[in-house]
Amino acid sequence: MNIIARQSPAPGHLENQTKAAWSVTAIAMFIVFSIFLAMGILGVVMRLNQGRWLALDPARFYSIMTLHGLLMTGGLFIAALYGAWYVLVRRTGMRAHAGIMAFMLLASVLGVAGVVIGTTIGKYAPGWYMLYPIPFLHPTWPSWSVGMVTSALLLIGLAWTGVLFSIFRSLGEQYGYKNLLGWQYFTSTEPRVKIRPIVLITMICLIDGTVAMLSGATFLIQYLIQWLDPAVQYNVLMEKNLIFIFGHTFTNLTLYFLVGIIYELMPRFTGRPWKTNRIVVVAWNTTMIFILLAYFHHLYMDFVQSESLQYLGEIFSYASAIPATVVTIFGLIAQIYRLGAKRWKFVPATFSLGALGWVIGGFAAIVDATITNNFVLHNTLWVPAHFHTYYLEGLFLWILGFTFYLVGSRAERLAKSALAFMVVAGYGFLSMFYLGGEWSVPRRYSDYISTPFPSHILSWHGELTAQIGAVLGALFLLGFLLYLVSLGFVQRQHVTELSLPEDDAKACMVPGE
Amino acid sequence: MTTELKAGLATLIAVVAIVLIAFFLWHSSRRKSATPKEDHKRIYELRIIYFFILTVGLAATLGATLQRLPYPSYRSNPAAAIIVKVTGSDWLWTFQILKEPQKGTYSKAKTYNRLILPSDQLVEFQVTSADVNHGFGLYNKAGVLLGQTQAMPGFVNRLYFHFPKPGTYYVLCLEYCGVGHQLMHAEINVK
Ligand SMILES: [Cu+2]
Repeated sequence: MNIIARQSPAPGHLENQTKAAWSVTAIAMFIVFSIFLAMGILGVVMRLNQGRWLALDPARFYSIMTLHGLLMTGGLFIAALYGAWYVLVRRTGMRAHAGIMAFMLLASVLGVAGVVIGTTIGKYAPGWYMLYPIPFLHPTWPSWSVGMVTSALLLIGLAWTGVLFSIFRSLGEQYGYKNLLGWQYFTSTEPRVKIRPIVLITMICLIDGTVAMLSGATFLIQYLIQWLDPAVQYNVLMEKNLIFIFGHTFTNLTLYFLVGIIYELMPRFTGRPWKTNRIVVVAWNTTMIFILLAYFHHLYMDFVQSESLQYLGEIFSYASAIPATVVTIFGLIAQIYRLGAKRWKFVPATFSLGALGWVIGGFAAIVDATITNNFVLHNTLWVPAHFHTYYLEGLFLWILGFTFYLVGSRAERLAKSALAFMVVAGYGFLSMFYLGGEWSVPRRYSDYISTPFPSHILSWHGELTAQIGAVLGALFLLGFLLYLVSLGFVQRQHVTELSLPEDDAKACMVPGE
Repeated sequence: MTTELKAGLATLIAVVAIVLIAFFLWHSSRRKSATPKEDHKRIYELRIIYFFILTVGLAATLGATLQRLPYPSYRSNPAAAIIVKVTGSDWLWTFQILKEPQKGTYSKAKTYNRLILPSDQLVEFQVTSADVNHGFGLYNKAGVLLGQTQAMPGFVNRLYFHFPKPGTYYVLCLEYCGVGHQLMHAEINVK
């Protein structure tokens, strides 16, 4: 047992706090799935409009685009954050602070409501990362929507920062703050305080998450100041850097929080241990640095940015492939190689397929993170192609697996059919983005009606890929509905996971899950 | 072969390879291992080989792709025959020739959404914006993106381009700039 700094809790306490954590996480997942469904439908609506099967007013289209981007990235981050927290509480017995977590969830929901009001009633439409100075110049949206969405996002950011610190404190109390980065493994292969991979990975996410939240809060506060006093102005290049430190890091952390969950839960289904060792520690400590430095690849086409930073962008984008695949993907392969058909349950299947999506999306990302390619791919449909790959067929599948585990559903076959459906339709949906990128079709266009080419070549390419994409996107959502049905088949006392010899004695399972 | 095509092809090959490996893993995993310890050892031996191949491969690709970047300092002879100031604004492209070429036909005055340039001379586009960020995306007649740079307020991005032959080229905005973004395009006639 690794509890060193904390008094042994009263009997029954662990079980009670795990139950409370379960409830908060279940509510969070309910919220996230509702958001996902609504935003997924809006995604299909956008593809329909680009395919000319709908004719929305551009102001409406772009406000939908802004809403879709903000709530998808935000919603999936909530799932990752609360998922990691729940697994930590349940598997390590760390202090849950379920009340704080519930309060922060409520604050996030309030923020989400602000974003929805601002983008629907106000038609606020600067795009999800609100590239400076677009909220303020020639807007087609009212001034109140700028203030409302900016403050709503600040509120959400504050809530998440609160969550990050709450988890940090709990982990620190549990393992001792100095052990959380795993450096004790360098002095001894069997250190006195061992940490599980999920603890190490979460710690990496907490540090980079703090950086992301700080840069996010900085530009949001700056925006609020300019909103109050329009005479204030900022340096555009500086703001761009701040925005992408935030946006890039934030998206990556959504993935990594969930990777932590996979390290922890995969062994429960395979019966094979997946432990922290020196290589795992090195991989995740370097990842912590690589994520922060790779963000420069978002500014390749800003030629005024220092060239040495452009170099760094490409080098660290490439470097990030090394720890991710050598340690995590090989670790996963060791988990599943010759596993035997009986252990291929829905949860490990989603984890494995999600990892596949992560690798494919990651490869497409590296292609685009090569400056010479970025020159002709940046802001074409290649960009939504790659990030939808690791969102939709990557971390979203992980969230599906985690939630299935959380509720303890037994509808294996139904869930697996839904998964097969989502994989086939999903990759079809994505291939239309890739093809569009390959055909130089610009992203973030409400429609391709007025592109100027004599043969209408770009309109044709843009509309065709959008139409097929819309159909396949809708099919993906049908698969998701099927999955939601499968969550209804909960059996009391149904335990799908295996316990392993190195499990903490006090980490408890909730009866009835 | 265009860069996009190469990138697409590389991705396709990689995806096929990744899917094949995944399929092999899935196929083999339906059988339960009789020798898990040995399997494990083999996987970790393979991992070391993979680590070296990946590291060398990535370093080599970096070395190759960082040789010729689209940035001004990578031009061996940056003295352009023509300098064009390009200003993006909601939702319009404005062109003004700052340095006139020695020969050929070209737009004499400030023009909007239209530009005439002579062929076979090095052009320097000095791209900026009068309001929000825009993207100066240069397309050929067949709808292929040839290159781009951002148009940023308060900054000038210098993009060098050589139009070998006469023909029509197009500019599309490649950075979301508000509700008229999809309408913001221009035509370049190279004479
Ligand atoms: Cu634009």
